[in-house]
Amino acid sequence: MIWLIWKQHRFEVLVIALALAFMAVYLIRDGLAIGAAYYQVVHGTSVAACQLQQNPSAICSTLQANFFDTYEDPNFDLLPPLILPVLVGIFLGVPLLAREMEQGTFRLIWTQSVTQRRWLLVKVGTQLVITLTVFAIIGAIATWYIAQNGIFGGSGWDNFDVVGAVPLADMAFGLALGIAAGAFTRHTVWANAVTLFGYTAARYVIGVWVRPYYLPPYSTGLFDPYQTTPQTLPGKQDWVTAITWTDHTTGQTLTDDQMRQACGGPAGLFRHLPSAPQPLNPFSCSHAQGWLQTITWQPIDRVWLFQGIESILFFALTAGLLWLTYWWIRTRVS
Amino acid sequence: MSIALETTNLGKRYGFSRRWALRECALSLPAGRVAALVGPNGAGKTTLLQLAVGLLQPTEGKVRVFGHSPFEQQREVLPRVGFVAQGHPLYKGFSVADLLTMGRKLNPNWNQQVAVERLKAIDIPLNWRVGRLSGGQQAQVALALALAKQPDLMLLDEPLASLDPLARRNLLSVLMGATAERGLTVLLSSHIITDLERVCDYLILLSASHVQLAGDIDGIVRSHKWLLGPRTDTSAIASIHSIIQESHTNRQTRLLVRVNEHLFNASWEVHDAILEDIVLAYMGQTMSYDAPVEPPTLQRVRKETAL
Amino acid sequence: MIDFHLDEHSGVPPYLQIVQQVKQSLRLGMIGVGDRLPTVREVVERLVINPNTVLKAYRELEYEGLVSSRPGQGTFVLRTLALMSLSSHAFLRRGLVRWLQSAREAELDDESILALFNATLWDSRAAESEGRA
Repeated sequence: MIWLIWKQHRFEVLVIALALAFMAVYLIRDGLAIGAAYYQVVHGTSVAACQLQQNPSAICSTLQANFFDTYEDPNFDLLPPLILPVLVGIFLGVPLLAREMEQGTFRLIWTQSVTQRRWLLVKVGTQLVITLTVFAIIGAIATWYIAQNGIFGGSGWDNFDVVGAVPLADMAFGLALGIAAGAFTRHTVWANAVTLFGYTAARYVIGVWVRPYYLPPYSTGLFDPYQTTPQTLPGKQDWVTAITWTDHTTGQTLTDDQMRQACGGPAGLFRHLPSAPQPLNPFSCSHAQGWLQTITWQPIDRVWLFQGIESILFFALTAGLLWLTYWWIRTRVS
Repeated sequence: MSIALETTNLGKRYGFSRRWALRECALSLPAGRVAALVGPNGAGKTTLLQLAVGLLQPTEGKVRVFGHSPFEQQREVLPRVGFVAQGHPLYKGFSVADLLTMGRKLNPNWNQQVAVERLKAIDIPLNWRVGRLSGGQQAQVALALALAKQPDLMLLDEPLASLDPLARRNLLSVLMGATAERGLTVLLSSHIITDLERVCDYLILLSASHVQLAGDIDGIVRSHKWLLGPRTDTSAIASIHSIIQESHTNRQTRLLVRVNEHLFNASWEVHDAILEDIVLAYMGQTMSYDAPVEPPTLQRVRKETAL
Repeated sequence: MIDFHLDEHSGVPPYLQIVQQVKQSLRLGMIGVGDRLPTVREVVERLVINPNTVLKAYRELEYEGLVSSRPGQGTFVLRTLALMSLSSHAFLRRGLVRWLQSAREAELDDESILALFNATLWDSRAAESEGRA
């Protein structure tokens, strides 16, 4: 069967492998270049050294300005969680079943002496192995890139989707979604659309609404952040998941409009910025109104745990989709 | 004698639709027969064939191929059954040789040599992409693939549709050659009966999702008769035989009956019926009133000279 | 080697046509003792008919003692039929000419004549085998 899989899918596999090879080359080359520039000694100092200074000298300002102008935060953290899994789903997952069904060739291949179960297992298995292996390699390179260059700051939470098992789980899910879409719609174009929108929707729902609650978040309620000890407030690296204002006396949640009406102006009133120096206490109005600001956050030390939970979640969804696909083609397709 | 394909109260309903594609189907096809599966479109022929090969799961009842369930026991059944789906689907991007390689890798009893010889004998180039072949050639390739598995039962869904007469003849020729060689059991569906008469010795007639008729063709032809007589009420006849079709002019009545005993009122003329008439009658088509009253078959001449 | 052909509209069952053509070939000396008849597969590929038809024909010939089938090898001619040339059986030919004249006077055309002849022949064969059974 391996021969058959190669013969049928070699074009797609090569395209994806090529795309990934380019990505790997880019990452490595870029990473090395950034690292070199960061640590390069110019006029007796380097950008790295400058970052550590509290009051940067003039040389430092220039160096830093030049550096950050040239090398922007690549912000490639959109790629693994969103674009690549969709591409894998569309180019590898969808054709697996949709093409066979559109052309009717499933009636040829499922009546050779291989059982449907074995056929599906080997096909899906090979695709999973190939994509996961390649992405594991890319993921390792990406992890090196980030660890190497903590240059652009960003905490573990910012790199959530790019490190460890999460991108692998995303990839597997994208692939499984493509396969399932192909099986259910039996139509390549529709399946592509379902994969694209389905994946985006799933990632959005889980990333924005479910992820903050994998474990119960910490929360602090304050009338005036300047009167609270730093230990009970989220740190720079922690992930603030929500900020809500409630009226302390009535217990009702306040809307933006209500707050704007009562206290005028936005910004300083609604955001908690413990590190930014403020000349005045911007919270005097809210304090006088008796409003309670509740901040919920997840601390940095939970990043790995959350990544683990999300990986397991997406792997479970992958398994569920694949099982559903098998059930569908066995009982509902002819 | 073993039974190649057996069904008991077999029924299939797709999804949640109300309509049954096949219902109460009871068949017992002996091994070694070449059987024709006929019936109008939508009668359930494709459904029956796909149930027999395990692509579909029965909604009710049972289907057994050489004693095994095709859906549950794919590993036992698939090597013994060759299947050519409607439209003879093939991987169009593959070459013919690639398809043979695929067959060799996926089937335990593959006979590569026979397939190659057969394709060479009908001038099909092995290195051509399947997409380049004509419809008739693709049908031959699909047939060769199925036969190279060395199956005991061949199931073909409308293999002759969309083929020109020469291609049809060539396909049937190859199929008959293989049957002669291996004692194959064949079940092929068609809605052109005349093609199949020379080649088939067993008939299964499906209409309105039910089996209307099933048996050896000889027996079927022997047990159906045309009855001609003066215009009359048919209830007397109906109480003895099954009336399949009746038509009346203002002076004559003509019936096609399945005889239960050889007992006829003297007022009826009894004529043999040909297979096509029988099949059409069951499929519910009435012959036109313009047709000559006596079917112009030789049996008629024989009757006269015997008198 | 015999080249079979089938006349679908003659009213004679296919297996019988094969029997007749084998006998014809024997009579005309086209095949002789020890020759192998075409295999079932060859006949079936040529004529596109059911193999059982050919098997039935060969069984009939074997029953009449004309051929013998050896499993795995083929079907071989055992004995010949009296060679026939057109000059022999003059008496039968004359009777036939007279009968043809009567048929023409009864305004039968060629097709009806052949049909009548075939049907009568078949009936007599059927009666024969019934008498045998």
